[in-house]
Amino acid sequence: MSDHQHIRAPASDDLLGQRTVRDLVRQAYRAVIGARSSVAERLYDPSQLAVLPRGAVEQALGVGNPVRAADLGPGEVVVDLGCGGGIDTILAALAVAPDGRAIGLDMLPEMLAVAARHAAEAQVTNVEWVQGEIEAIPLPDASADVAISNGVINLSPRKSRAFAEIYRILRSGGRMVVADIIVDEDLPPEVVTSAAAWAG
Amino acid sequence: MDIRRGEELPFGVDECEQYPLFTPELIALMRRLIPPQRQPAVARSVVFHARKP
Repeated sequence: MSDHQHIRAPASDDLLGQRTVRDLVRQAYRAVIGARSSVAERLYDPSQLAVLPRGAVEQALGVGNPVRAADLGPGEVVVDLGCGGGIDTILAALAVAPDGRAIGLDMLPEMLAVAARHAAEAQVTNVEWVQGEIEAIPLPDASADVAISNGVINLSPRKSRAFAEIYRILRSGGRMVVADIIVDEDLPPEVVTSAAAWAG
Repeated sequence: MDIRRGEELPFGVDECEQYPLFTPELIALMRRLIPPQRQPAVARSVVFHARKP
């Protein structure tokens, strides 16, 4: 075999810093487990907040209200991608009950444990928790009616891969309802080059 | 594929401050470098809808 046929290892095997970004996100979100946030009060209706355990409300770190927008109906299967403390998963489970179910996916097992506790407090039983990454969703093809996500896809170093996975797990006619951040105008380079620039 | 944009909300530096990737140092930098009139809406949160054919 001649030299040019060899695939040479790159100087770094962390292509485009994907692992670095993922680790930063993982560390940042692990650090706020159990912390209190007031994000939910701005984004959710009083009627939604009223049925949620305080912990789920205080742990919310989304940027919108995908459940309100998703027009969920009884019997549907909903996957919440990057469920965090479970606020949207719980609301989705309530909306699709009694025959539907909600699946909360998160890459942090500690976060899933918190979300499961919140669901138990809310007495929601039609819910499952799955550990995994949105770029490799551990669910079968065409297994979901609706995929929701709230302030998560902007954190992915492989957004196209995440969208391909969402497409794969949705059944034909299935919906994706994603709340996320967009930036219209340039930000200062010092801001753009920060880790938080992935939020956009 | 059917894709549409739904609800939008302004996302300012005050909102950024509530999220874990925005460190106090970064928020301070944003307050210093971004013109004050832009700070209440440095970005927008948007809900996107799409339907698989």
